[in-house]
Amino acid sequence: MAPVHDLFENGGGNGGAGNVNNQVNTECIDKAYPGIDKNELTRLIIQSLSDLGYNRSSQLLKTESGLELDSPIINNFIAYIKNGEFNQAEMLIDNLNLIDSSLEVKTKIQFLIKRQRFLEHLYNDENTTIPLRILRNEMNSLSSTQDIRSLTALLMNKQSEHLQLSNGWLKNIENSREFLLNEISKFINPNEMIPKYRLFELLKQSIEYQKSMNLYQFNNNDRKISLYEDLKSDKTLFPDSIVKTLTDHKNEVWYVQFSHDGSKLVSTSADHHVNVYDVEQDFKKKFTLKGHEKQVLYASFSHDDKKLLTCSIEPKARIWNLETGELERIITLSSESRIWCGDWYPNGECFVLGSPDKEVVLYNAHTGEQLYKWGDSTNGPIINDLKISQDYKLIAATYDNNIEVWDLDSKSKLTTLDIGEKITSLTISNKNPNHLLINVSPNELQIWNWCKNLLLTKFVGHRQENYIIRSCFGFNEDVVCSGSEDGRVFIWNKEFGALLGAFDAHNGNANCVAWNPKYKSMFATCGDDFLIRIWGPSRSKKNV
Amino acid sequence: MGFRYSTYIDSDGVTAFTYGCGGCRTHLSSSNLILSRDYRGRTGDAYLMDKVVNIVQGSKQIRQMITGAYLVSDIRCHQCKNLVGWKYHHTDSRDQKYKEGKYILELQTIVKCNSKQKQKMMY
Repeated sequence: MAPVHDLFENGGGNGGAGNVNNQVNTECIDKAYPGIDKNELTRLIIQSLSDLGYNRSSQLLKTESGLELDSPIINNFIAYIKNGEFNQAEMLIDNLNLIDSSLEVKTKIQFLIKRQRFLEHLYNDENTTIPLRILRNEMNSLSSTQDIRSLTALLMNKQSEHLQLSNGWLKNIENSREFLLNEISKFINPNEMIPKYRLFELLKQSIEYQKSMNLYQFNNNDRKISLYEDLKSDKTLFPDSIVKTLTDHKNEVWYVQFSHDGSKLVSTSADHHVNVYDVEQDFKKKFTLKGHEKQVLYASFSHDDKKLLTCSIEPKARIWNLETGELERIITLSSESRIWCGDWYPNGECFVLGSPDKEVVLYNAHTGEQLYKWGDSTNGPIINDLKISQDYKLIAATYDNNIEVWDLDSKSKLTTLDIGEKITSLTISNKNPNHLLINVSPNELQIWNWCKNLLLTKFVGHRQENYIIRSCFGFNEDVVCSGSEDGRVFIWNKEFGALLGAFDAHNGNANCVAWNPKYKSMFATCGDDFLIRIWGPSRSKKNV
Repeated sequence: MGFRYSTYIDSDGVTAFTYGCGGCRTHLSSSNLILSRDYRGRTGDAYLMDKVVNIVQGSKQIRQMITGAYLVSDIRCHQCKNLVGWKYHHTDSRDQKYKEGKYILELQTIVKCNSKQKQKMMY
């Protein structure tokens, strides 16, 4: 088949300036970019110059290269549409070089043109006589029942923006005609009529491709993307190195968490102590909260970061005042039920404790008074972990391998997600309270949309067969991060699910990870080796 | 070694109780699984149990007992490492074979976890 673009060369090199082929030696371009047709590229440049408003340059390039943007027939066709000479345009349909020249396609184009006439009469005429006549007499035979129904609906409800859009009316004649041309161009051989903004579309695809190849490109809008260079991995801010190690604990460290304002780090340990560190002062120890009689396994900051709730293996939860470091209250459940987790209301008025002994209890944070109880120790859910979302939903991971969601206003259950495997840890996204990150034994992390009962992403690589291993969102929720029973900490790209790194962190389990909500490039891990590690960008990278 | 994921033993607290570790209340066994109440451990009365969960076993050793020599290993709560009894692995005397693969739980080291309905009925 002869290349179609040959048809539009205006006399080849006899125009004086000549076309691309004899001006410079383009052999090396041919070699390096064998798939790229130079005439196609030139026509795209002509198009984009005109798209950008450089009409004289566009015209000049046409003359210089001897190439035309569109074929003469197409030019006529476009002119007819733009001038509203729809009957003339319809007569040209048979002459168009279509990708698929079946009767069906031709009928479709005819329908689109008649629809434009219908729409223009509908929005410009006083009455609906003509549009109705077009619809009845001319379009009825051309179109599917569905199209006719949609147009009839528009006839009844002219002002519906939704119907306008779905029927191809874009507020005024010019825009709608442009839209019509764009629709028709999809049927026309692209050599004859280049699809609109084609070069821009290609560049957009190129950027998307580069993004998808570059796992450290986290859609951060603060970085301008330049066409001059490929996207580079920007790891300068990415925390992949240990920048500090805290050695105060005398036994395994089971839980770490940053305060909501990012200024404090709390750690709980099997040495029965809870440490509070000042992040702003290079992790100077602010308090050692002593009082728990056994291993401490959980901690939760109130939203104003003034109080801390801690849970221990002894069946008592403690509330601490973080301004003074003093114990404020001890909470016990009925019949010495164990308390394994808890979280605060966003307004600080209440908190909820969760127990593996089938109890979930709501308390008044000021008085310690019990306000509500979901189930008792014979029929409540067995809670492994629970969190409260910013929109006041109580979300719990249960021993039955389910996620349960309750509304805290009505106390009624909203939904149950059947995960089917052991769930050890639960985190609610700060960006979308419907998104949950869970650790699933033996080796997965999952993100769920609980509203839609939809598993969104899986992350694999870490190991958690026998222990409670915890995870978190991080880096502006662009990554997810988890500990592992092999002592490593794993970080994945949240969007693509791809592993960004597995870093040696601890001897024995890396039990828990926590990301600083304020300082994007900081997270903490804790492990069986009694250590807390603070992670940040490596110093050498900073200097580069 | 970290915070263990533990098996939960359900029981209604009326017809059966769950026995938990005295140190951390991690569930160990159920009253349904008692084979005999007529045993003595190092700390006093003990039960012979058909099955015990959430434990770690110590190294195997030969231990001389009143009824003969046994190959046993100590069992500890996997969460708090509290010593709660032992497991019989092997014995040469034929009339004691039934103990093989069974466990001893010492009453001093365990607690009943959900017997409150029973308590109510007693009052």
